[in-house]
Amino acid sequence: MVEARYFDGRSSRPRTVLLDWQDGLLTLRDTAENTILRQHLLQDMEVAEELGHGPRLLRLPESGLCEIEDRAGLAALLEQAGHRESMVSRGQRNLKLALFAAIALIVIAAAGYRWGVPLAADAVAARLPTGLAEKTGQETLELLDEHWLKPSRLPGARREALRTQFAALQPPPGQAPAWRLHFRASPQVGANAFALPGGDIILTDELVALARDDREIMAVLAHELGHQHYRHGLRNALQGIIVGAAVTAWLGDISTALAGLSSAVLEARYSREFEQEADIYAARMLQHNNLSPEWLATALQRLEQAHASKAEGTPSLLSSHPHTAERIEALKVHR
Amino acid sequence: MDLSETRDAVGHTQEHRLSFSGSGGDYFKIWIVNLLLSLCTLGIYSAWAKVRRLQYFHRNTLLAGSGFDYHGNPISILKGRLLVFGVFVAYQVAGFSGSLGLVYAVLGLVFLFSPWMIRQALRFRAWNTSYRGLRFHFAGTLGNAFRVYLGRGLVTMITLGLAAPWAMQGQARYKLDNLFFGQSKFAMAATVGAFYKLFLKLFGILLLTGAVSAAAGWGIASLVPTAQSASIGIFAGIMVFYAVALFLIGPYFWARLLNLTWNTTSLGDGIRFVSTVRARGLLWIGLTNLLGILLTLGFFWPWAVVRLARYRAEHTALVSNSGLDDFLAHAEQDVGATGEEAADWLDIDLGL
Repeated sequence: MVEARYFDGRSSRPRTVLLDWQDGLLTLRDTAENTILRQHLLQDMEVAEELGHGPRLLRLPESGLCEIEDRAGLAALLEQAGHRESMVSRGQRNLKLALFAAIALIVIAAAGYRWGVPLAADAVAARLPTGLAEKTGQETLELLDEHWLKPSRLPGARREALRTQFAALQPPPGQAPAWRLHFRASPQVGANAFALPGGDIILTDELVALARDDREIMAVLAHELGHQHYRHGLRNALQGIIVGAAVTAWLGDISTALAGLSSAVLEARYSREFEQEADIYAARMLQHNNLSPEWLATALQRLEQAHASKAEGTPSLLSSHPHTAERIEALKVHR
Repeated sequence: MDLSETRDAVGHTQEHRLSFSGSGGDYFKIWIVNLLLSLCTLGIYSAWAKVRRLQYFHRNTLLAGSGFDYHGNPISILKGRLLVFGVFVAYQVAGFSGSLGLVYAVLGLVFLFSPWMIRQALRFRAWNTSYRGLRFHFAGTLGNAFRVYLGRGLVTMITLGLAAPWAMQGQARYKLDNLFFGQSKFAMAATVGAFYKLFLKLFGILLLTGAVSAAAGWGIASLVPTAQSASIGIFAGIMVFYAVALFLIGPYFWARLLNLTWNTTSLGDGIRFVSTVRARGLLWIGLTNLLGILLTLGFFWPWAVVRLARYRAEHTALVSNSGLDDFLAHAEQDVGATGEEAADWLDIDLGL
């Protein structure tokens, strides 16, 4: 016998009842009048699962509710009646299972970050129509032209010479992406080159001025061509969307600033991997044309020196590029 | 124990304080198991997880010995989420198509439908909440939803926020004046003037914060004697303003709004509410929760929400002069909520 508060579903007035299991029926007996109030089969009732430490609930058919404080008594009664709890109901009270779930969640998140997201972004990038990537690249270039870039001040003949020189280089066999070279001036950005989705490569006048040998410029362009070959621009954008959505789902309720910072840290790692891939591509391309990968190392060093006066070393975790020293070290393998 | 207590209290004014019987440890187990299941089913199970979460918080919120209960159907929640997902996809497709007209068309439709969505969410939430076997329900009309959300929202935009307190009062009133527990109606008496007073205080604090941030930015700028000191100073000032606004003004506004709304709300003939939420209480919980979440990379979340739920419950009370035993069920409940009118608005949840 288990004491319960019974509500008839018509008013909020409680009645004290005793619950009992009689002839296969759950029986509610009014304690004040000692009469049987209701009798039901177990399958006609809804046993609300145990959640926390509030009273347990039995929802009766049509309407009516029992609130039970005596948890042990109810458990014994339900066992007698043959009630089977669902697996999830039992599982969510089990500390071992909860710890397993926490570990599983961390493993899934880590594996998704390491392999899942890059694979998904790669698959999507490969299936997107090339026109879309080109359009995105052109829109980005328009935006950059508006805010950061100015028309190049290099003589037309010099630009044409560089373009011809790069066109004469052979990409590694079977790895020749389409490209369009744009010259721009940018005192704000400084000596730099970058690849936009769809084949656009931008080279700044400042970089051309910085180089002491045209082969350094060729090495940098080969690195950017590597980004084009691997579709890094598009893949980077797609990975950013996935990581951003996942981090927002996890932390967005607490602080959007925190979510933004976390995704920036997570995305920086992908970006460093892309830089390494592009470096290797450039080294192979230079070798394929009987040029030393050393030219890329020299260019990287010069770029680092040019930018060092502006920003003191970003911590490696936050940086979108690997440390130049590491990159140069990696290039030695290809010498 | 509660039976005798309420019976004795008939005719006397009695305060019933809400309490919360959940714990972070318990909720962590429920949360993590359901999260894993949601992840493994690509989010489909999250509708069932949402029902569990709401059931956990409802059933552990206790009033005079009885807990609240939640009856939402996961399938309805799933339908609502699919609808919202569909709208999101439509928006993305419109964005990719490059046609600005299409983007505005989708946004316009969402804007136009938002009062309907809000009303739907309020109805679903109310109807699926019960206490002592009696259901709540929401009777707000669609016309009034358009008036207070779209109408007053548009006026707020046109007046650059000057009408915001008026809009907020209308929305709070719409939510509470149309809410019923069984046959008993809720009513909120806070005036537009009271909302304007709250906003004026908030505006004063914002001005003060602005002045303090500007001074802090100026001070920092004068400490860094480089060419970029001006931009560093502006950045520092903005950061100070952001931090103060987020951590101090947010809890202050939320606490005052809760108190203003609930302290002017009554239920039926003889029940009124007492809300004693303090800004410093919310601030303390907010800061320590943030710290816990940072240190655990997010795994503190269940403890964080339980702490907030407990604080809110313990700072809310009902004052009644006739006990809590005399509420009667809404007529619709007798037919087991299968009335046709019920069916058409109950089958979709848009509360996100």
